[in-house]
Parts: sequence; structure tokens; C-alpha cells
Amino acid sequence: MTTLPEPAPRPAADAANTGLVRSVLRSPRGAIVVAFLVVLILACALAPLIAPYDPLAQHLSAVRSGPSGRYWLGTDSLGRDLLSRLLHGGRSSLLGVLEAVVTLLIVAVPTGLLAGYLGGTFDRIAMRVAEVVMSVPVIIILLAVLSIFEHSMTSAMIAFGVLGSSGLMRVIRGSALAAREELYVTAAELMGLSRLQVVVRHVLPRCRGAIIIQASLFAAVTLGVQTGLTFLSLGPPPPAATWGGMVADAASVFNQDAWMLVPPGVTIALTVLAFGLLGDVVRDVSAEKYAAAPAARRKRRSGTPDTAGRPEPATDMLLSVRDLSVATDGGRPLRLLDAVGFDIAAGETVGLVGESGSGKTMTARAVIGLLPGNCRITSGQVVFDGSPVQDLDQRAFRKLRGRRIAMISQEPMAALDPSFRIGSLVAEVVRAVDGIKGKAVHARVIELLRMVEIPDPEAVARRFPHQISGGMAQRVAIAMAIAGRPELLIADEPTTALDVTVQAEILDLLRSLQQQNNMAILLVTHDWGVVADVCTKVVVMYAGQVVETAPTGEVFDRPAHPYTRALLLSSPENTHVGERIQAIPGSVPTPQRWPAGCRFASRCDLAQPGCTEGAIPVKDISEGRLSRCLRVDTLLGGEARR
Amino acid sequence: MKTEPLLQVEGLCVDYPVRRRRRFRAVDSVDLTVAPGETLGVVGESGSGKSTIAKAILGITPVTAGTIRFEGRELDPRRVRRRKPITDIQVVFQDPVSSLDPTKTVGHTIAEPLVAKLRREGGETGDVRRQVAEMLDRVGLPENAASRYPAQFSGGQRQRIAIARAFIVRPRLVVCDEAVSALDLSVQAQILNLLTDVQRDLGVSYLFISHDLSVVEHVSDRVLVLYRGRVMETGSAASVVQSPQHPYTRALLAAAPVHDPLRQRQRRELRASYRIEPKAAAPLGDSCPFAHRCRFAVDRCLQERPVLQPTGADGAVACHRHGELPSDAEDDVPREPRSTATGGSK
Repeated sequence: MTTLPEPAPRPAADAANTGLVRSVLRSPRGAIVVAFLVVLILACALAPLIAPYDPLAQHLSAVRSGPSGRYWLGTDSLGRDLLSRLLHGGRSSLLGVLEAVVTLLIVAVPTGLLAGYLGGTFDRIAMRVAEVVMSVPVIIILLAVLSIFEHSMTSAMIAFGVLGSSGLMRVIRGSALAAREELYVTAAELMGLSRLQVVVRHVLPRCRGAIIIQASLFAAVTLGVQTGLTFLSLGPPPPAATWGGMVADAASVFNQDAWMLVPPGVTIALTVLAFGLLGDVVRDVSAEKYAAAPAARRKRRSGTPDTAGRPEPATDMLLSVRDLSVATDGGRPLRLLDAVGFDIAAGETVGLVGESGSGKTMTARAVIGLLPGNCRITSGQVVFDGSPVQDLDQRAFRKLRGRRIAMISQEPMAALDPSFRIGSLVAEVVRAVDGIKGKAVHARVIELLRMVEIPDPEAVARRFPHQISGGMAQRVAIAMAIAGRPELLIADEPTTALDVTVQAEILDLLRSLQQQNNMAILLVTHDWGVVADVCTKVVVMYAGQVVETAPTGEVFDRPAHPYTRALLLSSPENTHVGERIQAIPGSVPTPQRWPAGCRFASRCDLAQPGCTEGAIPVKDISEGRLSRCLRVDTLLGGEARR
Repeated sequence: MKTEPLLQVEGLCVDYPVRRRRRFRAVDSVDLTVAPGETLGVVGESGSGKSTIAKAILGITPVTAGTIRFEGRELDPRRVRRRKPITDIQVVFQDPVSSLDPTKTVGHTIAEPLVAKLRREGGETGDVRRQVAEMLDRVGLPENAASRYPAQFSGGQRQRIAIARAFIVRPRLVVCDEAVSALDLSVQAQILNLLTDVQRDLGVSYLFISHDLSVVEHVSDRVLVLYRGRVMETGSAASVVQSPQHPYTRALLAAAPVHDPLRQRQRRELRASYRIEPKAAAPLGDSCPFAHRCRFAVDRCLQERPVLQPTGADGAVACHRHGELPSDAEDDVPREPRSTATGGSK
């Protein structure tokens, strides 16, 4: 609810259906990296055919010559052609990388998947083995392997792959453990798929990103290690061409001729970089493939706000919001709130009602100056207690927040840092807003906890957040919110996550706190029962606009907007048992698809041609009642009742 | 007309291990039956054991005691581990995000259980594509949805996909574990209607688990009220909601706010006048699990475990003080006929 509305589902899923390879090649980074690696691998593989010289042939007349038409990359101390040596040397280097990575995958992927998915004994054994392997010094094992299988780079690389697999295995196990908790894995088990089928079809794809990244990083590391080993002449014995050997040769004459280091050095660096980048690109692309389609790149028709006689903020209200519009930043700003306006009097409870994507949380956040980083107020006024606050910077806002305006959220646990005791969490707020110190703080903390009707506040203050229930956590969050004696409390779905009996207690608490302190509440909710219980006034939002404002007493009996009426009717509570619920067809349009006219028109049974032509103005129907509907008279006249 | 129940659960107990070798009884001696084509609603707050019952029936949690019979046959509680699933029992979960594999197309997701079933039974899989298309149409999704990925759908649409996956194998019983709880009001209405339509067309039974009494009342024939793993009350949906017998059921109903500010205020004041200071919950043993919050509790409630006793036509209540309590009419503000603007569908 606190994030941006999810992008519009795209009808044709072209990106999703193209192959992974093609998607990688489509991204510029991917194309460059793949092109480089393909050229490198082909060149090395075909070295015997395309290399201009025998890598061992010495041209003693041209020792340590720089790049020239004859020797493109120059020659070394024995006059051997560097390009030829580079190509031939690459064969063993790249083959070594391949061997190590294949070994790594063969060992780590099955063990990691099975350890994570099966758990139990297999998991314990696999983890103990992995710990032992991780504690073994890799370089010593490699030296031992190389001394047993003399100069056999293949056996060294296979050993390296085995040793490296414990790290990847742990990563895969972690992903598999998480995947096991997914309901779709449970669903697959219920279908009677074999464990192998479940693992391959549903658990492995989940780990794919981790596998690709780890494998490509491992390839890069392997190339480094392999070059190191050949640098120490532990690989194929000289004079065989190896990249490490070439670096070694170059290093010995570095003072006389620095150039010799450049061809092998640059090649090694670029190859390592390419492996790393390839992993990134493949992972990005495969993640995109299953993600929701990016925001439609369609230019939105300009749904201009009704500017006719820009409404002035009310001065006698505690909070007065007028013409508030919020949009995302960037080249293609996306409007999320459109000319929102409402008032809250001191001590009043106003319900902000709407479904996901209606903009109610965004409105609440705009009021308290906590818009997400990529969103900003584009126009309008937010007047709190007579002074405009929409342009305040964060520093000035901080003086308001917690002291005059406070907020509680749907997830009380999220507001409580799990590593501190309840008492110190509340004390922190008390110190910040009251500026008191020492013993007075503790007294105030207990007083606050008592105010929110927590039994035995001393004991609760000593507990950690995980030791209290959700209802208790919401009480603590409320205690923190009222610490600064705010005049306005913004409550964003404060009871949605709670059981119904706990909800009733929290609503009772909010009501009694309000009466004691004459505190106004802006209650964001989607629950009409909560509205009926605590609110004096209702503001109904739909697709970023306020569509109706009404006193609570009237909205249930005589809704003045078709959306309000439809939303009330779609509740099972307002449906006779045995009858179909009068569901609203279709779904809320996303900001990309807001039409120019009435945003509810496509789902409305009262819609007529005029509704879709232009922006619908807000109509004043009676004292305190506003409706954004052209057909409000028909609606209230009752002719078009279903 | 007493028909053979489709699902019969007797004396179901499920224990969960907690630290220091202790066990926590999440479900305690629960009996329930679901008749063919019937919907049994299971209501309770968090921690009441309602999802655990679902898991036990689905065979994905170890059962401590009790039997689960389906069509007269006793089910093996370890059948999923032993890969002998009962495709006649399917499930729709609460979370529309987690219940679909993001890396598989919708068509694949819906077809998978059918293909698995056909393979097990040695059937032909040639017809799968047509059946998937038919099922997509039935749940109100466009035909081209089959080639798209779950992330491209909204929460309500994903729940439609999950429903299609459950129904593709033509189950006899579908467990709906908070299947509409994560959805917006208008979407929830669409999904509830869809579930009702599919039940009418295919004659399936539902075990409908929810914390929302108004939703349960709407879809259920009978209701089971759970608290701390025990059945507190059962009966027809109408009788449980209109004249609740157990103090806990009454508390649940009284706590749910109604869509009428005036009546809600009266109910709130009534509730406030009844309010007692809850004592710390006694450990579950030989006592009524609700005794510490019950305003009618007497000593006997703390010493003796109440058994279910019949209340009327088909109901039962586990309360020592059953018969001594004031009638529900004195206990709640009566429902008035609904106003014409919002409820006038007759």
C-alpha cells in the first residue's frame, strides 16, 4: 500500500516469450560482453589455424619488438609472437575455467537444492562437509594436486571447482530453503509431483539468478587463480604458452620493456570483467522476464485538473488540503494524485476510503511530508493549522512530525525496532519530542503505556517487540505516536492486520484518546465497518481522485457517487444470504490508463456519453457533501437503483 | 435425508513442537464433516488452528491423533510425502503472489496438476490445452492469459489463476484457506461470486476458512467456530450468525463493526457495558479455552472442559453455561431491515 501502484498488466507479453539468449543480446551491455567472449573463445579455439606463427617459434632477429605489421602485438624476449602465444595460451586458460565451472555446478547445484529442499539428515551431512571443505586452504590443496598429477591443469581446475562448490552450495541451499516456503511449491507437492520434479520445475528456477551470478563470479576468480598458477609455472611447463606464463615473462623484463605486459594483462583483465558482467546481464534479463511489464510507454492523455476557480483552503480547519497533485519524478512524470482536496476540523475523525491503487496512502504520506523518494507534490496546498506546509523542507517538517502530526501504520511491528526493548523505544520518542531527561523520561514512558491501556506497563516496557502480540504492538505504536501530544494523528490501516476483537479494542482506544486530547484523526481504511465505527466524515477516493465527501451518517444510506454505492454493495455484509454479491466489474485503472473523463465510467451502470468527454468537476450537493459525478441527481433521486 | 459425508474428520489433534521439547496443541479434538456440494465455513482468530486443520486435511502436516476420512476411505496423513496425493482434494491459498510460480506461464501452472494426474493414471495428455482454455474461460480470464506470466496479473486475477489450477482436475473438495482475505473489497466480491458459480456448475464442496464472519456467513451452509484449537460452536450459518450460542461467537460478532453508524454506536455502547478485564490466558487443559475472557465464566469453566452439546436442529455448542445465558436478543442490537440505497436488491 505504501509503494507505487503496480504497473499496468501488458496485454501482449512479447518480452516474456523471447528466449533468454535473445534477451541478453538485446541489451547493449549483454551484446558487447557476449561479442567479446565469443570472439575470444573462437580465436583461442581456432588458434592453430589463425595464429600467424607457431607460439614456440623463436624469431631471434626481432626480440622484444613492439607492435608492428609483422608482429601485431610484438614479440617477447625470445622473439616469439605475442599474439600467437596469447591465442594458444587462451586455449588452456579458458578450458581450465570451463572445467572448474562445470565441476562447480555439478557438485554444488544438486547438493544445494537437495539440502535446502529436503532438509533433515541430508542437509546436516551436506552442511558439515561444506564447512570442512571451506576450512581447507585452497592453494595448498591445489599445490598438492599439481604435485601428484604433474602439471595437469585439468586436475587442478577440477579440484578448484570442488573446493569452490561449498560456497555456491550454501547460497543455493538458502534460496531453496526460501523457495520451499512458497505456496506454489506446496501446491506442486499436493499435485503429486515427485520430489525431483518439484525441485527441477519449481525450486531450481528460483535459484537460477544466484547460480548464474555465482558461477560467473567463480569463472572470473578461476581465471585469476589459473593465471596465478601458470605464473608460478605450476601449469603446463615452459615453453608452452600460457597467459600466466606470459605475464611472468613480461614481469622479468618489465624494467626494459613494459609493453610485453600489456597484451596478456589487458586480455586477462577484460576476460575477468566480461565474466562478471555476463553474470549481471543474464541475471537482470532473467529477472525482468518474469517481472511485471514495465510501465506502458503510452503517452497519457492530459487529464487536466478542474482548474475552474481554484478552491481556496479553509482557514478555520486544522488540516485543509486543496487541489493536491502528486506525480513521479523523471522524464515521463506519472500523475498519482489528481487535485485531491478535503478538510479535517480539530478533534474530528475523517475516513479516507478506497481500494488499493486509489491513492489514499499516497495522500496521507503527502500530508505528513513522507512521499516516496521518486514522487513529489506538483501542485496544490496542504494547510495545517493556518500555515501551508506543502513546501516545507525536511528539517522544518521534522518540527511538525511527532509533535503536531503523528502517524501509525498497518504493520505495528515494522515501527518497532526488534533489537530494543519497548521501554527504550518509547523513551527515544519521548526524549525527542519532550526534551526531557533522566528519570522523568521513564515516568512519561509508563504514563504513555498506561494511556494506551496496556496492562502492567512496567513489565511490558522491559519486553522486546517480538515478545508482544500484534494488538499490543499497535498499542505501543500508538503510545509512541501520541507522545508529542499531536493535534492530528494519521492512521494508515491501523487495524487491518489485527483480529476483529483486537480491532474493536484498538478503535475504542483511538476514540477515547481522541476525546481526551481533542486530537483529529485521518483514518486510512478500506473497511466500511471501521468507518461506521469511528469516523465522522468520509472521503472516498478512486484512481487518484476524491470522488465523494460526506458525513458518515449519510454515506451509508445515500451514497452520492456510483463508486461509493458499488463499493458498499460489493460487501457480503450488504448482500442477502443466498444472493450473488453485486461485484463491480473490471478493476481500478492504473495511473497509466486513467481516462480523460470520469475514471469510474467504464465500470459504472449510470455512465452516459457525457461522462467520458472531459474531466468531471466536483459538485457541491449539500452542506458538507461533495460528489464528482455528473449524474448525482439521478443517483440520489433514486431512479436508477439496481 | 442423511447423505454419506464427503469428508469426515474425527478427533483431529495436531501438535507443534515448541522449544525445550514441549509441544503445543494447535488443534484439539476437532470433529467436522463436509457433505457433497456443501460449504463448511471455519471461523476463528489468528492462532485458532484453522489453517492447521486445512493442512492436516491436505496431508501436509503431521497429525498427532484422529482420523480423516474422504468418501469413506481413511486418508493416509503422510500421503503427500509418499506421493500418493488425492487429486479430489485441492486448495486455494490466501497469498496470490506466493501461490504461483513466477517462472512458469499461467498455462503451464494450470496444466501442471492435470498433466501430473494424467501421467499417474496413464491417460492421454493431448487434450490438456483445450481443458486449460476452457478453465481460463470459466474463471473469467482471457484466452491469451495462458502464455503470460503471473507477474503480469493483478491480485484478483492471480487468485482466479489459482482457482483454475485447483479446479482443472475436477476435485470433489476444495480447501479455501483465507482465499479472499488479501483482496480488495470489490475484487473479493468478484472472487466470492466466482467460487459460488463454480460450485454450482461443478458441484464441488468447500472447506472455507476465514477470519471474516460476514464472508463466511455469505458462502457457507454450515459454520464451525474455533478458538485456541477447539470447536466452540457449530451449526447452520444462519443460526450461528443470527442467534449465536457461545459467548465467544457472540464476542466475535459483537466486535465486527456493522455498516450503520447509528446501530454501530449502540452496539459499541452495549459492548462497553459488558466489557470485563481479561485475565491472563490459562494454559489449555481441563478448562474452557475462552474462560479468561468470558463474562459468563463460573468456577466450573476453569475446572472442567466443556463438551459439545446439541443446541437445536443441527447445531452444537461447547459451553457449560449453555441454556443459562441471556438470549442473544438482549445481547446485541438487533439487525434492522437494510436501507434501500445500499441493500435494496429485493
